[in-house]
Amino acid sequence: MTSTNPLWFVDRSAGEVTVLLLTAVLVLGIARAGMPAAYPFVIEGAHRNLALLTVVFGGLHVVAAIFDPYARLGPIDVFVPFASAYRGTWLGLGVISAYLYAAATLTSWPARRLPRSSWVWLHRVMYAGWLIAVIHSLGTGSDVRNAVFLFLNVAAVASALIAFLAIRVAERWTTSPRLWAALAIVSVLVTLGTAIWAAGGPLQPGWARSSGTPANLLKSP
Amino acid sequence: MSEPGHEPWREAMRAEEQRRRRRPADQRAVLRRITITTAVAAAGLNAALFVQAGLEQIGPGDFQNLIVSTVYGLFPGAGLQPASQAPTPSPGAKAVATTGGS
Repeated sequence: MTSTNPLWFVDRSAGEVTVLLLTAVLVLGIARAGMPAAYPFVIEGAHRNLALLTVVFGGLHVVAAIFDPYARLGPIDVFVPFASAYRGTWLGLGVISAYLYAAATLTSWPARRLPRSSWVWLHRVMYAGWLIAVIHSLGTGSDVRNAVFLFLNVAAVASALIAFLAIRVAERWTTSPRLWAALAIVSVLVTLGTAIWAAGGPLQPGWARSSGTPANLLKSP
Repeated sequence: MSEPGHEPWREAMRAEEQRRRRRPADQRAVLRRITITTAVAAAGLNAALFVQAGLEQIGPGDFQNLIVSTVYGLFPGAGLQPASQAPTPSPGAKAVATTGGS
């Protein structure tokens, strides 16, 4: 069965744009933390403005998902992790990522609301939040095998990894080489692990069935 | 001898101070440009991915029909009609019977 409702395509395109914007916000955050003296006003401002723009496209993604009649998602599916009958695990990761993102945004904008150390740790959790969003996009996304979407996802992951290694790790390397070497290795291994999982899962035929698409929505063989 | 207040170093300092005072305004303009460009690019990419996802899944013909019927649904007076609907004869026109070609 194939949806021919425009909201289904809005949902998918807005989801991909949200992942890309989230990546841009992450890279700007890394640049701000790793190069505090380089254009602080511009980089911090761009980080904040793009974070708010991400909320707009993320909101469009969620609203389109609720109103699109194809996957039959309701408010509970998009607010309660793993409650959905449609690709529940992968959709649930998107919900968790949205909560992490909301926490990071609401404690930073319009003003910082936590003590500095708690705020920094909450912001660091967004590395995981971003990764969870990428895995959600690969696992739930109906367009993983679409060449354009795949290229954009690979570009997003590559730019986040390069920014982390070239800016954050390079800047902190001298302070504690072992810790940052370990973090660099972990980031590379996580990226490789995600790529291997994607190649063996979402990029394979039959993923729609194994990812938990309800039987009535699957195309007849 | 140069007059007090007109020494080269004072001039240089004044120029540097002016440059420093100007910087936030310049940077604000750069930030505004970055934000607007990203917002426009994101909206454009969203539209492009919308089309790409539609074309990939249901093909050009059906996707065109989907867009036309959506526009027709939203703006019934826009003059667009989905291709699946037969054209209606103008008032007073005589119906012409057609047969299949040989």
